[in-house]
Amino acid sequence: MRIEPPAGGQSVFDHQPDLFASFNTLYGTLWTLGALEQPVKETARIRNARLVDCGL
Amino acid sequence: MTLDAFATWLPVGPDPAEPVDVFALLPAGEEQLRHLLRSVWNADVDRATLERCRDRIDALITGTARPPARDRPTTAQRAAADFAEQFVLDPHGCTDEQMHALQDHFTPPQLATLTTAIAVFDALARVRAVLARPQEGSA
Repeated sequence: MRIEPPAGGQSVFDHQPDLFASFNTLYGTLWTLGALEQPVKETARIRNARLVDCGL
Repeated sequence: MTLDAFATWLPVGPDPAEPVDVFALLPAGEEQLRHLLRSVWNADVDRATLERCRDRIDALITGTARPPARDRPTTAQRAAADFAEQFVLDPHGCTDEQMHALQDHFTPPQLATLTTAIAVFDALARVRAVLARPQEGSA
């Protein structure tokens, strides 16, 4: 791993738990609320992940 | 990139040339987006470094450049802006050498901040590029 997580953490973002929480709150809000139906969001997510070769 | 209003092709106002607070149109997430952006700017990476990253990203995505900063970039600022550029162009293209160079200047918590900041700036620049009203005379 290029940047080690902190002790007890799983990723580099665990070095900044408050910032990571802010990101996750936004991410979760966009997934669970809003005007778009879930399948539309998921389709966009998959297309985006393919473009940047993201395995998530 | 900021959440400033900009002229958009979205049919949301009487005058399409008037700037619109596009992010306020979000039915959900605006408050969380503003909080995340504030958190990025208020974290542990200095403002000048973040501004250089933001400006590099804006130039790449929108094709417009801000006036150059008066001061020459430090080695750390140059490494951060180069990382931002690689993130925009091809995130898998970040090399071990590039990542090691970053770690010469930034701590792991700062790198977590820097990566989050670059991701947010990249996303906002792309939103603006897609939703902005085309300039007169542009292709």
